[in-house]
Amino acid sequence: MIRILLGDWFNLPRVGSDVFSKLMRQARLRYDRNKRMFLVEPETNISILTAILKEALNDDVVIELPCFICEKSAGCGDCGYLEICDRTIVSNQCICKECFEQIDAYERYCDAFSQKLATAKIKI
Amino acid sequence: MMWSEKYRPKRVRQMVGNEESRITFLEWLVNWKDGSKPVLLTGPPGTGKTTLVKAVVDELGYDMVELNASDVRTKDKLQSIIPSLLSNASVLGKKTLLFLDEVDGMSARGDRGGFTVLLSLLKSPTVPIVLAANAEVGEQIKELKRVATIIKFKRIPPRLLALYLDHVLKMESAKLSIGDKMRLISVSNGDVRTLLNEAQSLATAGFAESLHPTNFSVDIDRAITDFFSAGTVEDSLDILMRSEGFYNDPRFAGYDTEKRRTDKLAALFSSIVTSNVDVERMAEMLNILSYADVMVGRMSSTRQWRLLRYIDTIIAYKLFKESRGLTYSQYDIPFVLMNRVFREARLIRTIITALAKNTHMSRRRAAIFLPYLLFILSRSKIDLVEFLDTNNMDSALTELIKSETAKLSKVSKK
Repeated sequence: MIRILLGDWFNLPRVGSDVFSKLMRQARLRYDRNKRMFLVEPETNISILTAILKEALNDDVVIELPCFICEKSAGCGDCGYLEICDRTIVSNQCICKECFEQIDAYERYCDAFSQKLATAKIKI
Repeated sequence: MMWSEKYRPKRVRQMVGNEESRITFLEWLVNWKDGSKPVLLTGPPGTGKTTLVKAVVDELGYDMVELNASDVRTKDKLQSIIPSLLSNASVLGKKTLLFLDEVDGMSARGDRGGFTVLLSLLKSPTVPIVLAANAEVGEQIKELKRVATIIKFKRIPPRLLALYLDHVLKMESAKLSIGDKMRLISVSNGDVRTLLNEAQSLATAGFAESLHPTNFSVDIDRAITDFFSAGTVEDSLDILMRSEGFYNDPRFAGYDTEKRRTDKLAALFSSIVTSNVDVERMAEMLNILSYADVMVGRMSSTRQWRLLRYIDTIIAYKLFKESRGLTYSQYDIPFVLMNRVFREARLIRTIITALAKNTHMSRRRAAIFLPYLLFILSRSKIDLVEFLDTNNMDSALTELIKSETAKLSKVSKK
């Protein structure tokens, strides 16, 4: 099983130049030559990416969303909404179970956004 | 007040989902300078495109000029608004932002020339311009992608929907069971607006339309027959609302057979025209249907689909008295007749196109004059061939016009 955590660099076994080309051009995946790792960008088409990898590697591809608050994996495999969540079409970040169960989860989520704005040096 | 409006986030930080897109949009607007490319926000409904623009405008102190699909966005209208907008970039000391919502709804017919004006405006903007569209493909979107930066919005993940739903329920001091929440999140399909509307129905009225789809699946034929035999207006309205039928956009002719079968107006029309009622009563009923049809067309062209719910009420109250005792009947035009109708329509279109071209008028106007022209030709002693030749009409058209005028002569002799 190939596990891809969105927002994190990941490795792939050698896929050959044709598949690599498809990953770059069709799925619009990012590749870093120095790190030799891949990254899912906002413009990456995740449906196409999973389809290419599934066919090329003959293995299941599991997309995991990161937690917007703690930045760890949101734990999609154990999520109660797994059945109704199509991770290839939803926005690229979620929240993990631990953060969700906090009493002030929504406020913490909003604060996390403000922190991201501060990191990006955007003042509003 | 609708929860979807009451709890529409006033600050960007209060929104859920599409975090990267929100940051990208803020970066664009904060760093905006003369000549910066406009942005096009694309994504499904209820994902926060309009909310984001409204919240950012408020937070950054912009004056927003908004034109959505329900406004007239013709060439003339845009040309009258935009120059004053561009020359008054600071109204009341504030910066101005132009927001065109639902640009994929700009139509060639309804918004005559508006799209061309919009494209020219986008090439040299002097104020920040934000466009929003549900569609990600299509001719207009393709054109817009060349001149605007795209920011994509995606559906909201279910757990984030749950987070926002919990927040709203807490604010309203309302409670829903875990099962109901799961079902609401499932049917809303990543759309916050739908989620809040359905949650409000369930929390306040104990009923959510989408959770009980079986209550809204009465076959169209049974529903129309029951409608005609209902004892009260209220009953007839209830039946119409529970039928499986829809009100299809009358401007679009390409519906499949099933979609046409479940068109409520078409079902009522075919039942009325095949009934044995007298002409006056039939005319009265057809007038009512015609009125409803015009309303459906206007609602569709301005994308005010939420207003379609009132069509059932209009029909039930206006048609109730005249339509008692009718039954459902699906009228199919016989193939021979249909074939003839299509063939003749094609011929007439050809004549109208040629007439419009030769007289420098629109095809719509040419269509108005065509019957008069044919009538004059059929009654006068003008040599048709010579007339058409003088007017540079194609020789192939001669036969068409000849046959039309011959038909008219025959009718007038009778």
